Amino acid sequence: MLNEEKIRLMTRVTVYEEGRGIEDSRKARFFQNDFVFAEIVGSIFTGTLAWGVCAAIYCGYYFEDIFFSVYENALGPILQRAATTYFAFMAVYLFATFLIYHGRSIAYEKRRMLYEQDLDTLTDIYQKERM
Amino acid sequence: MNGNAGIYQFRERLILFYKKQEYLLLPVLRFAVSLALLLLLRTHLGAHGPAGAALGSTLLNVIIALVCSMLPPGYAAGIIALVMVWDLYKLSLEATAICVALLLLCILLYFRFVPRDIMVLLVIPIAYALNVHYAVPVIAGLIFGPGTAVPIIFGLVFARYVVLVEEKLPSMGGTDAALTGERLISNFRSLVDGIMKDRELIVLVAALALTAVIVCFIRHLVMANAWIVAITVGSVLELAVLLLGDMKYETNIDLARVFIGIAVSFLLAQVFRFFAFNVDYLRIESTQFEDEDYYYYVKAVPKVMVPVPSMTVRNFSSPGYGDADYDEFAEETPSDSSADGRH
Repeated sequence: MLNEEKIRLMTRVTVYEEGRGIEDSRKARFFQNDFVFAEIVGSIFTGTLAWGVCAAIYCGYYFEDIFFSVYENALGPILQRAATTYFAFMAVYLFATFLIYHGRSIAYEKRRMLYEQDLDTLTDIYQKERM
Repeated sequence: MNGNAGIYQFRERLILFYKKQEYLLLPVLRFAVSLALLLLLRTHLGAHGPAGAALGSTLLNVIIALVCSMLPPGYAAGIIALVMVWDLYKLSLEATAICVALLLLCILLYFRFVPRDIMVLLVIPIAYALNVHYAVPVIAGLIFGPGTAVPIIFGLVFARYVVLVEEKLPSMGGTDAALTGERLISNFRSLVDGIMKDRELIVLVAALALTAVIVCFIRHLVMANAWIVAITVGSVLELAVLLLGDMKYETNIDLARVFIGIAVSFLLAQVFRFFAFNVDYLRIESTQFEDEDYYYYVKAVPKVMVPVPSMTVRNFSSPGYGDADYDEFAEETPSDSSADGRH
């Protein structure tokens, strides 16, 4: 006779393992804070690259002004503005990264807890069947 | 509800069909979206391209779309982006540089965090070409989070950028060897201005992004008919922002086109709601109970469920004389006379 409860649990466990579980297994290698920290480090590179792209467009657009500034050795204000925008942009970008990945790691903990509960229940069912 | 039973049965059958054929239908859908995007690029840029451009060949487009249909949406989007960059490179270096910059910003600022929303980015240029782009933020707001506003913005920018490049190409001078540095910078500036100072685009982006956020917010409210209210408010909001933008910034939008687009989009959103979220608010049940820690106020809204009548097909055919299995059939089937007891 089929054990409906067991089938339901096995289906839920398999759906998780083949879906979100794949993504979650990557997070499982880290402690919660380490996972968020690793993503923030990644964001430092991607954020810098994104700022660089914006800076390149700006330089292309104001090429003549920048060229004359270099020629007249008056790059100070431009560099100051570049540094200000870089730090402001990175502060917002890194804060957003922290919020997103902190929220995700909390959601991951919940999913993992439910998954492990299901595994425990399944083990109990198997043990009862053997007896 | 009895009068609508046929519609609900049709819906159930369609959902059942989709569930059964999902493995076939999803690649077909991906193929259709990829091909539509490639053909759109061809429509706008193909006429200006040199003979060897990828967009010029229909067969090549079909092959690329076939490849995209077998890949996840993220990879498909990557391939289409590469085709776009390659064909822009054949047309204009400045246009390519801006396109690559936009793509990089799109990936680094958004898809690094939410790669699943990439489908919204792919769909919006097609919807824009069909004038039903007003439906995208409403539907995306219903099924995704408020962050879906970002791929909508990028999708619109890409759609408009391709049109802008098509318009500017004749005055840009192409990839001539004689293209001077000054001309290069002037072209670059005119393209950046074309995107940044396009008031119509800015108003459209504001309308659609705001709609996605508001629809998502209303859809999550604890209230009856939240989906219907979200769709209606979303459509009205789009119209209101576009009209206000037109009055304030003189964008000179084609009002008839906007009205038709929003009306059709409203219908599309309703069709989507019918399939994705169909509940019967007349049969809401409320209950209240408590445990050691909490009081629970539960409101249960039943789904509209109509049993699909199963059809039984009875086969009356019998093997003909001379068929391979006739002898077996004749042994199993007694003749009429013997069955009646007549001899």
